Amino acid sequence: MAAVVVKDLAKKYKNVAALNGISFNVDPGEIFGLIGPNGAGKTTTLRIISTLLKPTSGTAIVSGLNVLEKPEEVRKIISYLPEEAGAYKNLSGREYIAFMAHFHTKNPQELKNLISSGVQLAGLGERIDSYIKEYSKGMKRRLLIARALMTSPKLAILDEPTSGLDINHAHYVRNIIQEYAKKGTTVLLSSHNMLEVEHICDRVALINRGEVIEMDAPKILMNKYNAKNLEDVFMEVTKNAR
Amino acid sequence: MLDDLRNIVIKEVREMMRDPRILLGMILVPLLMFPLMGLGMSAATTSIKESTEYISVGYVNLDAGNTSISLLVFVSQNKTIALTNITDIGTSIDKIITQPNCTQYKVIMIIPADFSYNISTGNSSNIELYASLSNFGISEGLPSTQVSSLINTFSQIVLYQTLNAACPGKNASAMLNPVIAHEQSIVKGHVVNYSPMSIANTMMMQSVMSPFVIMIVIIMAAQLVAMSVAMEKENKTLETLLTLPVSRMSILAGKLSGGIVVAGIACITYMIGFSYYMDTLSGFGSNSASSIPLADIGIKMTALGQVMLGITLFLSIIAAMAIAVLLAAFTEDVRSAQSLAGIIYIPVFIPAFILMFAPVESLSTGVQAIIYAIPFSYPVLAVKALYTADYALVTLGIIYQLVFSLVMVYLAARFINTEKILTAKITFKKKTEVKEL
Repeated sequence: MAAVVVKDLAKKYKNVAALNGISFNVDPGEIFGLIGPNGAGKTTTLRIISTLLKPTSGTAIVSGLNVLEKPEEVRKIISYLPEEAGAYKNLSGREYIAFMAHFHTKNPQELKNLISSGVQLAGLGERIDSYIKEYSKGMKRRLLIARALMTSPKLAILDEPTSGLDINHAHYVRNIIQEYAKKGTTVLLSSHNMLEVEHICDRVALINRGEVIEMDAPKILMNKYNAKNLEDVFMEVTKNAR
Repeated sequence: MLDDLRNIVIKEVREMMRDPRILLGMILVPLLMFPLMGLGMSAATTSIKESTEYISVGYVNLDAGNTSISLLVFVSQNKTIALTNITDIGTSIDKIITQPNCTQYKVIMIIPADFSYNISTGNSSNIELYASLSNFGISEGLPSTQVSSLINTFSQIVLYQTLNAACPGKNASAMLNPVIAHEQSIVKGHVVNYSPMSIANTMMMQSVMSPFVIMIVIIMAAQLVAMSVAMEKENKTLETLLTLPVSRMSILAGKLSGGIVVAGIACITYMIGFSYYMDTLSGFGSNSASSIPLADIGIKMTALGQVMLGITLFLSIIAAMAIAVLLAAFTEDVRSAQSLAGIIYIPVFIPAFILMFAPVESLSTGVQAIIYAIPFSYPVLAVKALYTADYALVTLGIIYQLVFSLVMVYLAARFINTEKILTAKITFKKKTEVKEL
């Protein structure tokens, strides 16, 4: 069974069409990237799969569960990291991890292990006990990634996971994503950094103006369009589409 | 469900209590502001008291009779008065005020030449009192008032002496007050030995203070929840929260409960500060002498009444908070949420202010209908109704409030369950044409 099945997904905000019937599948354990420019519809797609938005038409199914019909069941197996996600500024990093962990288990020992795992994953050392308002952007993002992955969700939905991070923090985040994918977590991420996606995604879907314009493994796409990188692929594909 | 609720409540309380805007604005400032105001008032009160503890009176006695001597002896017996004969610096006020040393006297008293003669012949006689004002404060006015009061007392003594001399064997007091009206009240079928106005004044104190406290609690709770929702949006934490494996109802209930806890703490600190302030005020022009122990005359709130008042206040808070959630959902940041939540002030303040000064029965039918339609009126209505054991009104009010609160909570829960919680905002832009992204 596919981890994610998206079929003919469309979304309109009043008079603005954000998605125009996109379709793709994500296999279990795969790192699947949605790439495209700002406003292409990546975030809207991820928000629909995360049960935050309802599509105007089409379906999105996560591990056999329709996000429209069983949103509460879907929320038990996914973990969503929004692009500009923040954390509760007046909590410490540890309190934040503990707050989030409480929703995933009520067993005291499991809870303790989960918090410990989240703290370790964040890799913030002693700063885990500082208030989040004292964190740098990179530290905050590491904490949020730890929150998203500590439960080993069936599906991790990561919107621009390394956006705005310096090279060290971005490297740390990418390694963690790959590590958890190896453990069995399916990762659906979005990025407009095509070079980065090229390195960590098993397959990618190129989105432009709310439509999937190309989809395959990065290397296959580069060969197909005789391009040096995904950026060139994207330019080539959109040139043909224009 | 309960574990999730507890988790959210703890987070809410931590977040709010550690937020400087809430900690300072809603907890520390009221806690400090009122005692500081009280200290200011206390300093003013002390200053005023001191102004009447030693009153230097310069007097000019132009009278040669005995009555003026008696008056001066009577006035000088008052321990706070220090009398000094200033005839040597002048015999008229015009002359006296040109002398530099006249300023050492708080009051200048001039007894006219024919003072004793006028009194002995049954005519009134004027004593001139002059107080020098520089800052126009109360402390400058009180010494003259105190001397004037002593002169009035002396006048009464003279009156009684005159009557006794004219009508030996008669009761002077009875002659002066041949008819006396003795006001009493009938409360719940029992005669009580207090005038209706004194009871009304005491009830007035209750009906002014209680709405004041009730207004503060409701507004604080609503503001806190509006801030909490707005903080989720402003800090970009709402999206994550809504994708967690927790029901939206738990999120809403957690926010409302957290708001109640912090509002309760804020209210306690507010009342501590406020009661300190009121204690300070009570030392200055206190009304306590006229207040009546209501329990003595059978007007008291029973335990059932207190529970009912608690329920009606609780339901008001829940309704206000649910409305605040709905309003805050349309904003993007805390400041906008606070402004928009200010809409709740209108239905909370207006009935409370009206009911502070006018019983609902005395209002026109239209105004009564509005008061009864506003759910926040009921805690204020309940205070007086429960003192008089009018449980029917309060029970009906609770039923109405329960329905209203449930509807508001339902609407808030429905709203949170939709994507509008993320996308709704108040805009005044013109409609745009259809376009494809």
